[in-house]
Amino acid sequence: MKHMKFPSPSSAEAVVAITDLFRRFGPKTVLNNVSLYVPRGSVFGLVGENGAGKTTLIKHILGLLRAEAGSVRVFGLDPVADPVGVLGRIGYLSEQPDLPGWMRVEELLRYTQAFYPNWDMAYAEKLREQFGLAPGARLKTLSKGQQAKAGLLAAQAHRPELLLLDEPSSGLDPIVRRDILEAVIRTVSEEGRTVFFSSHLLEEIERVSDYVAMLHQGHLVLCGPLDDIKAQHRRFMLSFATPQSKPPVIAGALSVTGAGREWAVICNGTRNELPAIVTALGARIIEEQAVSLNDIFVAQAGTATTAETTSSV
Amino acid sequence: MNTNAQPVAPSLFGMRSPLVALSWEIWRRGQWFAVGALGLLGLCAVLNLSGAGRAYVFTNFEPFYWLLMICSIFLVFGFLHYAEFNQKKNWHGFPYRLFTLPVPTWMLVACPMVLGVVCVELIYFGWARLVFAPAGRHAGFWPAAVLGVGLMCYQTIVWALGGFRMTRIITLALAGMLFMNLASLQFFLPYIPWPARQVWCASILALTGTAIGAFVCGCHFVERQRRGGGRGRGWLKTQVGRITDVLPRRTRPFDSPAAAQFWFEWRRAGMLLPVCTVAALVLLFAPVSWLTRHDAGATLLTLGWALVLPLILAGVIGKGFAKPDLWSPDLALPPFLAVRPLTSEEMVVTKLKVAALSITMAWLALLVFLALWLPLWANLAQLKDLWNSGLALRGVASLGAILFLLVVTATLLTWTLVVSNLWVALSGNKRWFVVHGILGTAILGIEISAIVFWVKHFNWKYAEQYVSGLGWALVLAVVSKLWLAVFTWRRNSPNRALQYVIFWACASGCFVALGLLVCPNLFWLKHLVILAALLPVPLARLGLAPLSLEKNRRR
Repeated sequence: MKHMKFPSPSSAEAVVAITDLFRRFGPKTVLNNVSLYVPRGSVFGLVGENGAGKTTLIKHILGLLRAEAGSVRVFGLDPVADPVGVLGRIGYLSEQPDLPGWMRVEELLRYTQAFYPNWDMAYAEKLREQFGLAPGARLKTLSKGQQAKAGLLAAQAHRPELLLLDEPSSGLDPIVRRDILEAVIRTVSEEGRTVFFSSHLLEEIERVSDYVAMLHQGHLVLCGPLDDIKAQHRRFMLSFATPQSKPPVIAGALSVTGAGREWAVICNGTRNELPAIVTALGARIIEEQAVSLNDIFVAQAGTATTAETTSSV
Repeated sequence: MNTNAQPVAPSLFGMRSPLVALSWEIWRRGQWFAVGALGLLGLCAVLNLSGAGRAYVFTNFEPFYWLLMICSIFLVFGFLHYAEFNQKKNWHGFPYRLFTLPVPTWMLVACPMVLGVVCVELIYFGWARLVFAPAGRHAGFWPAAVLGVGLMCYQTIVWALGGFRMTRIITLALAGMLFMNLASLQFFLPYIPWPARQVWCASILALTGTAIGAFVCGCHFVERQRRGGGRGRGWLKTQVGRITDVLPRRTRPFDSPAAAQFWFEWRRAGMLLPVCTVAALVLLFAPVSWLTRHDAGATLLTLGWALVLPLILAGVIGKGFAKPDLWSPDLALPPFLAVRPLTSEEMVVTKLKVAALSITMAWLALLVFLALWLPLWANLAQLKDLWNSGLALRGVASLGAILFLLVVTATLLTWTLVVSNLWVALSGNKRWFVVHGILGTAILGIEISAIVFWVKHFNWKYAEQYVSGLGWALVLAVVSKLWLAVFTWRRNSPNRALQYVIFWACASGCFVALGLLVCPNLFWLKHLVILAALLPVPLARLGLAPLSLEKNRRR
């Protein structure tokens, strides 16, 4: 598969700069030459199916995994060489909150406070009340949603420059998901901090992200501002004069779906060339639609899978 | 008739019954324990069956055989441990996932229990027949029966107290001691005022009752857990929770990240050793010392065991303490800790400090117990004789200094036992951890056997060669230690290295001083003592611990 290169902001603007990151676990390549840049003050959404390499990428940003090849810089620092310098400026919430069950909420806050000089106790209290967490409650007695909130509270109360959320709303109910998303939005809108979060709930990403990157089987298949990505991707409804028994082959199309005379084609940046191609196939464009991130993801993942299959054959 | 019917795929390995599937799962999850146990048995059997040298080998290495037999029995216990850790619930008990299987609870319990009894009996009789019988040692049926019931009780305790892990450790230790005494019943027969036949009948009945009780209790507790109970939400825990809720709690912030980490480590792992020491003193030593209060010999024996108690507990607990999380079987550093902006070096230093506090408290508890027991209800006749002999030999000041240094060096030795595994346990590599444990046990066995061999064959004619050989071995060990320490400490911060070297020098100085005070005024013996005194306190290994943790933290 061809490795995609995406435009990068200047290093001064990038909170996270990942260049040609490569990582393998045993025989399996989990990240294959991934390069991405997270601009300061943005909400950066990382999407990908299960096992695409999202958590591995986040662990590299945290310095919990050492890059086998390529480089990872966070605030211009190497998170492996200078963990204290990097981790002190990051707030992290993992997919499955691994908070120690024996701790009480107030103990978690006091313990976490000690590591972050910028800890804002008033803000922490405000968040705790907002999330409805009793200070004396042991973490193991909290529900999954409440544990996620406690984790988010501990990750946010020191007002980190970079909030790193690894599938924060996975398996949570809509109310907790809303609370978490609101906290993300507030983080950015009120204080201009950076949020990097991964999810496979694409509606979430679409709702709050400025930038989106898409991982598929360790490859970065898409990266850029969400608006640009959505503008580049369009769905065209095609009408053929005669029913087609198999999907028409259209160069540059990410996906072709339909049956008979009517077919839908999702294209990425081939908008100008498409009318001529379609005409040559004996069809005409009857409608052009904007597509959701979900459609783009499915189309991109499908294309990548097809490309993988073709190249392996 | 459907002529197009597809051939039915054979079930996996012919597992057509739940019992076979459960047994297969138990085998797959613990096969390395079983292989280890069989390997030790096979090794000794081969050594013992090797013909002409058999008697010679057995006579000289008998303690080594016994040690390996105990190890293989422990491995069988590990094989049939059959409990799983649930980090979220902070609970380690019967595998929760099995509760959804369409299998009755009694069968879930009976399968590992029956397998356990069969395996432990096979191993015991394997040792008896293949290793000890050819050398003329005859192992009886009674220890085998005790071992089988002991395993059933072990499993029941592990499952029943899944949410009460500290209580479980204490209960297991007490049960272990009880069963060890029961297995040695024939040695106690002369001291029991009843006819031997009655004692045996009563013991067999008690053992049978215990086995039935263990199975019934196992079924009851697992059934309770299957229905949502018994996971640490018991009455006792609720009451303890109520008490801790009303107790004053720390409300002021921690002064530094290191202070917060210290609190975390203390709450997680530091309290275990003092709690276990206090429990052993209150539940075991206090009653025993009271029951034997008129017996001067028993006082001396109990005192000896009491003094080695923290060392024994530290040896066992130290294996867990050295891991990133004492209660988790996983050696990887939990992400919750890994993302703290704290250096790996600082995390290791915190562990060392927590170990020091933990051990100080354990020894203080022991000293408080001794301060109460010895003057209040102990028979001090033999102890006074010993004291007077000491006075005659060394004088008051010297004897006082020896006693003081004994306490200090024992404390240091306890600390060493707790922290000396850090370098391997913090690496996160389970294979290294297991291999280190096995090697450690093997080396201990070889050392014991070598000492026994040496004592048996000591010949004054070769005394000079012994001293020279021992001296060179010690010199080599000390030089290797210092040389390795240079390599391991150079990647740590110079300040920490200096602090630890100063500590090491002071600690080793205590050992040297004690050795010189105790040993007779022989020049050759003194130089051996000085060299040996430089070995107990770890130096190179602790320098390696931060590097191991760093490797674990950033894979």
